[in-house]
Amino acid sequence: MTAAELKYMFSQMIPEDGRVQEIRIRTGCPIFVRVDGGEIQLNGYADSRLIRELMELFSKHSLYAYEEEIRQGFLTIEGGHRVGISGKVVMDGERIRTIKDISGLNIRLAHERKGCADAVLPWLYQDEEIQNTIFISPPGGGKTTILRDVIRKISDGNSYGRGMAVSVVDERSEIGACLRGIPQCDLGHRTDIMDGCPKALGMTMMIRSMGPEVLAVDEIGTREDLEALRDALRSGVKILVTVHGDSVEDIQKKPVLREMVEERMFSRYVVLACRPHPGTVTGVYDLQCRELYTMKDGCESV
Amino acid sequence: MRLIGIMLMAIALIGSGFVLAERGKERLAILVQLKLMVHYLKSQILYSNATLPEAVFEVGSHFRAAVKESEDDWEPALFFLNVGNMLNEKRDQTFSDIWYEETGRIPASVALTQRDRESLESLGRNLGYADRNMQERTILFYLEQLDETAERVKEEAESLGKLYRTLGMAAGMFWVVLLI
Repeated sequence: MTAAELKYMFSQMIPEDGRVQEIRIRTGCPIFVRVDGGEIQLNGYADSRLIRELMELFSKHSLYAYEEEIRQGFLTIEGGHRVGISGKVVMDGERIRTIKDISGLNIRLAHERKGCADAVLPWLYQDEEIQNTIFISPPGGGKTTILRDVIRKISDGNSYGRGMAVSVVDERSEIGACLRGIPQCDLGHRTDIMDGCPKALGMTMMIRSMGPEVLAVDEIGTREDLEALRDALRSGVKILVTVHGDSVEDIQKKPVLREMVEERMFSRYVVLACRPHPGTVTGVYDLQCRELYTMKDGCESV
Repeated sequence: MRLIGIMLMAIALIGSGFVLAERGKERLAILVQLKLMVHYLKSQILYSNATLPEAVFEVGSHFRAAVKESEDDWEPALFFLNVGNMLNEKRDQTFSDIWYEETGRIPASVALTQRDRESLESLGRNLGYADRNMQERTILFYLEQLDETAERVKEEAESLGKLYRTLGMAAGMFWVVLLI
């Protein structure tokens, strides 16, 4: 199968108004597309030629430019979509040099949904001040989408607070989907973005150079992130972060995140779920992890 | 009338000698320009980690701006710009195919030899594959070739240039002496 054939098949079998979330391509297997929470199986089987062609397309004929990302098992392409890859890992001592013979791709499509943060926004402010917030959700739960919208709302100002200078450290180019340094997603008028920069390094640089009032990063979890966030809080900067997890209890199983919770770095915990659809808010918790808002109380899903 | 015809022929012969001498200089100028551009391409790839469409387009734009007076003539910057545009338009074609196509579009009148064209073509055939080291090696290899060719063309332009001019003048004068 060629990329052109896949494109044609896609146009024939996927509803035009369907919200494509994920495309899974594995050598020798059928192609599965997750649309609006359901799964569609395309006709035909993927082969190594298709994967090679797609990799060439995704990397814009420049695999060398994605060396570092490929080493981590994914690459982020134009539009902020993330392509996970699996194949044969080539080691260089303890370090992964590259992944060759790529046999599987998981294309996760980024969605900019303006207004998706409306339901949680009131809970992120207290006395007109934005609270240090962590968004918790499993993969595909919509935390990046909601973070993007929250950034835009805070940056432009909203009915709960004035517009603030927001600095975004976008290590994987998923928040802003930058193209030649310019965000393709609307992050608001007072937002500065450091694209493709390691989070901890980027946070320190932003605090020093851009004087942010709010700092936003996606998928934290390392000790370096913790140190950088401590720096940010010491500087009086508010923080917005996301993390993989199911609940506040779940993230406390991870040592670094437990430290963050114990240090009371966050005064708001927003828990999201994939069901009934990505971005569903299941709960909002305060500094002491007390429930402020839960789905059973009638929280609108976003 | 006869005298005017003889003089025009003589001028044409002398002129052709000068034209041949100039062609060597033109070739040298293009090779030097290509060298500068490929150096810039190298920095775009290795230092800025730009993808090929970005890097090629940037190189074309940068050097095109510097030589605005020759809007209609072919020049290496135009070649790079065209490749950059094609890469953005024809996303399902490979980089090497687009580069190859564009090399084939260089007008025959441009002072590049078949060998120069083939070297340029092989640069595109090997870019984009494997890691950054491979890109660097490919570019350095081409730059080395360019250096050697430019050196040779420079020497030839000096020695052959004189020869072409002298031959042209001698042929022109011979023509005059023969027919008067």
